Amino acid sequence: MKTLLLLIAVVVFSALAVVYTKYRIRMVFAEIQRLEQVLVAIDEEWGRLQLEQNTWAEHSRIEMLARDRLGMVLPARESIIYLRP
Amino acid sequence: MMIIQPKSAEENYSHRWHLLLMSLLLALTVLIGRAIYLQVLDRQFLQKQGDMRHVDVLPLPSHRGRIIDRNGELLAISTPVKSLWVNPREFREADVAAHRIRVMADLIELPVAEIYRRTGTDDNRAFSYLKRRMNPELADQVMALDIPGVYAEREYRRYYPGGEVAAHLIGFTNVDDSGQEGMELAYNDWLRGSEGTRRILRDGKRRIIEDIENIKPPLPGKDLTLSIDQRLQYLAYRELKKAVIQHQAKSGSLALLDTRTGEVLALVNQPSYNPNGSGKPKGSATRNRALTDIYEPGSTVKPFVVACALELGLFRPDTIIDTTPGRMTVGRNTVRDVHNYGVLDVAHILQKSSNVGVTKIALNVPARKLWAFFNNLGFGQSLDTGFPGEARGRLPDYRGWDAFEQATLSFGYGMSTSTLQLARGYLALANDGILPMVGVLKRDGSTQTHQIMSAGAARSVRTMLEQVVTREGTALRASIPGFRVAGKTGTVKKSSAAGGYTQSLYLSVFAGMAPASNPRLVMVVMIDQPSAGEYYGGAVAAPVFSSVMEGALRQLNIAPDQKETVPLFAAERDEAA
Repeated sequence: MKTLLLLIAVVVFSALAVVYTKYRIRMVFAEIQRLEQVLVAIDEEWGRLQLEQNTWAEHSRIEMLARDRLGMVLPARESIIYLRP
Repeated sequence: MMIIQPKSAEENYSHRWHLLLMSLLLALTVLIGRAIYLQVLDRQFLQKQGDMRHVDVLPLPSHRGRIIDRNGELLAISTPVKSLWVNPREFREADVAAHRIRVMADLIELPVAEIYRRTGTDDNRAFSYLKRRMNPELADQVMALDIPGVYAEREYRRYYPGGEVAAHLIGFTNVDDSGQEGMELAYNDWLRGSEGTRRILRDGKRRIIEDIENIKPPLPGKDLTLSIDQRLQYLAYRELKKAVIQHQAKSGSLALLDTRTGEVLALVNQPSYNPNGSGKPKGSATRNRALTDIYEPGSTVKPFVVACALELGLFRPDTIIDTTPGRMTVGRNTVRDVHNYGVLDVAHILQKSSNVGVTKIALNVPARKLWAFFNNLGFGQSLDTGFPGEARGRLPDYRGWDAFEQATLSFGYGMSTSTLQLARGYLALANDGILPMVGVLKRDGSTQTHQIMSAGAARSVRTMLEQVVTREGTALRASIPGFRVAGKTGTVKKSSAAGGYTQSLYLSVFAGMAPASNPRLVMVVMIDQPSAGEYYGGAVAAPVFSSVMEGALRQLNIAPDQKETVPLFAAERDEAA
């Protein structure tokens, strides 16, 4: 009789443990899903930023800014001093 | 007639009762049998049917690798986009209010009628794209409308930040992210990576409730590093485009090579196209002419004939050759010069680009040796860059040559080459006779090289080619202040489709290297059919060479080597002070 009660207790405990684990799985899975969404969003932003950086650093744009806004010019050959190592 | 008897009636009831019992038992047995069959013998069927409604395999898209230039600048990148699709059946059953559909139609820029057409009853599909590859934010707005049957799917779209500048070399991908042209096609497997899959569990409302297992993780594609330098590529593109427009030419191509490694630093073509455009680019504009189009190289091969004669010891740079009277009969044909140049030495034959002079040199070289020399330079030989559609060019076998054919080959007719192949030949002259493998991918280590002529022969031809870029030579306009430049012009009559050569259609070619004292860069410029008046290689192609090479030398920090105009070096000035 004692063994039987003990076994029943064990079974009940085990059943509760299963329920709890299932619950935890659901929770953790939801967390994974959320993090994956975040990862995707970050990935998207990274790609966008790479493209944006490229657009700002476009050669034609830099050249235009250097000439027009900063008033830079290509130095004449005579004014270039070459250093020999 | 039957008479009903009460006695026998009782017996009859007992029979009926038995019959009823039997049939009930039979029905029970059938039911139990069926239950056993379903639950024990054929349980997989039901399980599968159940799984089909709840277990699903989802693809995990993989990221296509980037293409970057030798300095890590972005040439092609995949960015996530969203594609919207609809399940027409679910959509119809939900009977969505018309005003919500109108909001969605505005967001995806599709007429309402088109949406109804795609979700119409005429077919029974469970899948139809509404719009592919749209801005992810816009797609999220549509999803926020929560219209039944409309789903979003994550995909990648390829962007080419450089636009048309390097379009020919890079190529493009199709709507399914698979390479169609250029390096995108050649290295498709390398770039693509592999799609992953995962098994998930859905509930009755098709929501994902559990991740069962990752069957295969997605493998992102690898990055591809090209040998080109985007700064030089842009410079070359701009100058070539300018020249093609200015001379009203049909097309043009340019190749810039690093002499030491054989890497291609810039490879541009005109006309070009924008690989970011939505429509499919037209055929001829997508051709990477520098690699796929072949033409007769004309006078630009003369230095090789001279190098071959010097190498074999048959001529010396100062050997005197009489080219009077400016024409010469070979077999039954006549070789002509533009003017009568009189008596010239070998160096001046190159400077003046005398056909008669170079013919006299070529006819003194055994056909087999000349062929072998050209063959070693890579004419008629594939470049092995892996680029799809790369041309091999044509060099006829010496056993079929007669004297006139050998003569025409010596000034570049009767054989054909692509722009990059011609540039490869000049690498040998620039590199003291050593020919490295040409490649369009950045190299880490050194590459396979072949010594195909002595350093002495290459150097003396180089010295002669410097005389071309002078006031007396044909290519003064290829000169670059401060640098010694060696090169050769070519003005090639185009062969007509009907056979023979046209009288008024030309190719303008210039092949050259700088700084001539120790060449670091080799460039070939070809402009097809300049028709704005000028057509000489020295007038059309040489200025492009000059402006691109000048910029390239400056950007690569290569010191000027022309002694007389070099300003005092800082160190020397300090000493003087």
